Amino acid sequence: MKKIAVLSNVIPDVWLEGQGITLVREAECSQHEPVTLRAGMCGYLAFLPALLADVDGVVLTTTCDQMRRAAEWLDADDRVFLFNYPSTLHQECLIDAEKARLKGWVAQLKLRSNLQHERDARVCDTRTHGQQDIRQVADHGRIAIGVIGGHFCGERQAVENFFAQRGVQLALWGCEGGESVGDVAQRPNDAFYEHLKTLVTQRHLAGLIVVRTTWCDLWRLACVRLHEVLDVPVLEWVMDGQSHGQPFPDSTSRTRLEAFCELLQAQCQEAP
Amino acid sequence: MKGPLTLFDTFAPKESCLSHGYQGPLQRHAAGGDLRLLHLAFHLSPATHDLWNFLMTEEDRLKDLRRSGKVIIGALKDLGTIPVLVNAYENAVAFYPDGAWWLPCFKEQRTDLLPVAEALGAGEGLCPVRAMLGAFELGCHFPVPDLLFCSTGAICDDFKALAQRLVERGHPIHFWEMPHVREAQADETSIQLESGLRVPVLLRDVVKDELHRIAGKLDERTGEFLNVEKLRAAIRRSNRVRHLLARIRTSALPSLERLVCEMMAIHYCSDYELCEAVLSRVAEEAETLTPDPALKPVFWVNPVADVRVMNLLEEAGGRLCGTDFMFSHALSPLEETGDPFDTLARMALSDPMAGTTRARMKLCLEEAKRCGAKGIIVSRIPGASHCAFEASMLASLSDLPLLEIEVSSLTDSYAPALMTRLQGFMES
Repeated sequence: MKKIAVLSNVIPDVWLEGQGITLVREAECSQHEPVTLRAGMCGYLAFLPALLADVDGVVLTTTCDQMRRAAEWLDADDRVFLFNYPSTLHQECLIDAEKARLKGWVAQLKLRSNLQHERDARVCDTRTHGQQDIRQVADHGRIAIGVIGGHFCGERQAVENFFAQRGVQLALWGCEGGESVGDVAQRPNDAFYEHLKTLVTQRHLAGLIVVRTTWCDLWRLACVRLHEVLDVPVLEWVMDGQSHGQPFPDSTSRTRLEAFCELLQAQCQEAP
Repeated sequence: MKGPLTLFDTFAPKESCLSHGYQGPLQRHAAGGDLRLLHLAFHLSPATHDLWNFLMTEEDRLKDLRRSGKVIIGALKDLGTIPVLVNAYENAVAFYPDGAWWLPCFKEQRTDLLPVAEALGAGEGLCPVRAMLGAFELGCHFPVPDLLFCSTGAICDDFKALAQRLVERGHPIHFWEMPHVREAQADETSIQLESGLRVPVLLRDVVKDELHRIAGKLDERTGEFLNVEKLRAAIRRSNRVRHLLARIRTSALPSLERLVCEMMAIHYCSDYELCEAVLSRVAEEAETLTPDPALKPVFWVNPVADVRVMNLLEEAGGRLCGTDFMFSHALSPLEETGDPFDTLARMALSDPMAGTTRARMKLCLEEAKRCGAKGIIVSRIPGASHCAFEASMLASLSDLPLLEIEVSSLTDSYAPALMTRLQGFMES
């Protein structure tokens, strides 16, 4: 079965159902050798060449300029599909046309011979499993937080473990490949903030962490706005990747995240 | 011949094409805070003196236009398309707030624009166009437009993020979709753009639909009704400016003034009639100039946030022979006879920033060779999402020497290093 990495939550699984493919929703960055990037490039791109070598095709979207540019930077036209996704709500005809084009691309990809090596299912269905895990543990009475953002340059499980060790439960994983939290790139994107407010209330989140890479402008300013509109503490976490063999997270991130957990715990104790 | 501001002011024209209030010594602008003028070397001629006065009086002219009852339309990001449409309305004038990106340079950072932008979250990781956010917030440097339109979709992330921040700060924006421009597949109905690229007809239809939507909002705001003839007339006027710029671009006009002239293509510096008058004189004079054989002709990619770098280029032994300041679609002649909305949609689709980096760099290379460039300089804009991909793409295509530099709003602190790089490139 062909394995295709779809690296944007604006493309739901349902659009690719019934096509006989295995979907990969996030690169497991610790499993992929990063390449050296030029200054200004999104840290997540460092992992894409290795991911591309591990799957049959990659689907990126135009919702982010870095990904739009990355589609040609990967230099594998027949194995990379760039989905032209509108930023407004008044040209949805583009989506229908692009869905049809995506379907055609998948069909073409399936006609090509399989890659020589048999791949295991290590990256398959991570999205589904991750969501189930998070929802199962969300109501155990511990402090719940959410992590949202663009592409995450690390391991979701490591993040979950990190917080669990500190008595904090990850009740929302809303990075690319995780649960959809709305389209940060839509203009205007009031609906995105409204949706997040609802999620924070519904999931009883005590705080929210916004993770982004250094050069991610969309999430940089979205984080500022979230500080303004949410009633819970918001922490910005800048993360460009994790070096092989290095502890996760790096010392600066660890200190920030630990301080955030302590803040939430203190707030929880002070609450009547 | 070049000289400093004081000397340049002695070249003020006896018969300026600007009205009295906008004439006068440029030193008044320096005294008013535009300190960069004191550190530039100007091409000494009456025509370029008018050009600079035209540029530096835009805020005053906008205020006067508003007092006279004109509706000020802010056209954000599209770099040239919406201003053509706006200029079809007698009662409206197009303004380009993104131009605020030059303010930190002209004020030599003695302005609160960037600190204010930073306080709103737009720090150094974003391109200098974040100064626009500060200008809107402070309500200074230009009158806040009556209506704002902004292209979105296939645009740089910096601007997409900043535009949303403007909305959040109380400046409603009508966003319009600018889809990513790609080559049509064999099975798609397509049209050919002037660049030769075949694109899906759907993209043209999407943009056309957006332009009609914008026209509807302009009709509503101005109380005028746009018809085909009015829009065709605006296209013809735009072509007159494009024709003048074509003459200037093939002349030996020094680099700094050439940059200023080309920037006029985006929105005619808020007055297309004056723009045409000013550029006519510049073009007339520019065509009498001969290129300095001691200067090496280079092709320049991307506009510079610090205009003094154009002086540095010449001091280092180079001169502009061709450019891609990110708005080549605002320079090419437009079709005057067909459906004018179709013409503008094609223009928007020709925006080099909406397409692939490869397509843009291929065009840059072709143009560099056509105009006899001996090398190409890619000038990075700090923080701009597209810049990280450009030089490497060009290097993979180009057989011409290539230099990549980064130009911030004020280069004084690293001007010696920049000069060394430029000189090394010119000597090689």
